[in-house]
Amino acid sequence: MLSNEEIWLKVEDFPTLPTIYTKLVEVISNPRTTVQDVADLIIKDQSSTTKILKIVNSPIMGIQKSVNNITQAIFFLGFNEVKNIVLTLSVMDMFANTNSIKAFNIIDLWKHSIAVATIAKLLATKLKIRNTEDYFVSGIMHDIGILFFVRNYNQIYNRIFEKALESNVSIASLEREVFGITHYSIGEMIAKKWKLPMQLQNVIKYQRYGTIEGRSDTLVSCIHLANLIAQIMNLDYQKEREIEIPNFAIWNNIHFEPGVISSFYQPIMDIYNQSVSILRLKS
Amino acid sequence: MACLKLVSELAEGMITAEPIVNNFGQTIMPSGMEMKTKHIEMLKVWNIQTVYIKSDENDSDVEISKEILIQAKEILSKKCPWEPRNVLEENVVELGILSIAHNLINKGGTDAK
Repeated sequence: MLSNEEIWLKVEDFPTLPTIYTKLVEVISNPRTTVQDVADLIIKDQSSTTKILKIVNSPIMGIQKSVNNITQAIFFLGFNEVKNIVLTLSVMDMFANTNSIKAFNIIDLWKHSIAVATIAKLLATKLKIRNTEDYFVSGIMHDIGILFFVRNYNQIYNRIFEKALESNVSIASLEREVFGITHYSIGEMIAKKWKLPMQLQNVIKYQRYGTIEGRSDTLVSCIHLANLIAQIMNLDYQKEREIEIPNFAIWNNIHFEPGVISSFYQPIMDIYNQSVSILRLKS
Repeated sequence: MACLKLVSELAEGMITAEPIVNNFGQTIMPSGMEMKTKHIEMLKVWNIQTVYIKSDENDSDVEISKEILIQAKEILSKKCPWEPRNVLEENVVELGILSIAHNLINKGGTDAK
């Protein structure tokens, strides 16, 4: 069991988000900020500039005209989406700098995060929700707590993964047994440390239940459902795990005509494959 | 029948299967409308990424045989032991069956993706 102090210290040690993200948040929170202001900030970071241009020109963004400069990219994407993309790229770097453990490949965890992100965004689009980009970034972030355990306790976590497979118990229950805390709670602590929006903290903490302590929340429900769909489509890092029944309460705020969800197979695979290709980790 | 297309895949003559709604919840194009180039350009300006288009074809490009679907259903039932409680959960399970079916086809076929 980890003491509260040990957990706290290790979370403190967890990498911070790069300066470009924190500066971006600050700049965007100013209502007088213009597209050019944001462009001027991003252009100082060559790597982010290149990656954002690559993303905005990819087929998944649907912008046919080639976008050659960052100012244009920001205009097309909007501030919220730019912020989310920079966050996604930062998390991507963290995954790339984390070693795999024997029990699973970190790349599979990253691909699973992309799958949940893609599916959540597709669900949101079909539900005619605004700010579908928030759904994408929620999917990217949802299992950030697992990264914490892999980085800090890789040998123990390896055994947890193996036991989960052998005994068909959930990773979370073993985390609680061994560490006294689950990756959901750790993930929430990291999101708090990074000063991420409350809705993102809620997603990480409550994704397992699909509601916020019984209270309905469309974002949390969609991530709960997207996670289920990713698992059932085998877009998972724990391919043999038994799939848990969803919380029935999510259907209070997720309504589709019969048959619509079944028609998502090809769109999910198409957009997922394209997203993985664009956001590929350097192995 | 409708299929979901990326905006980059749209061509003149395609007909919308659903109204197209922007991020502000405004309907910018009704369903049943034939797309012209100017409409497609407008969708890009609005940063719309996907559109439902009416399709005469089957929803999936691959014809899946009954035998493969039965096999896929059995494989899934081991991993997913619960019974769907409503039609939406049935549809989610169908997604699982389709995935397994596609994997079986790809493994068995000569050109695996």
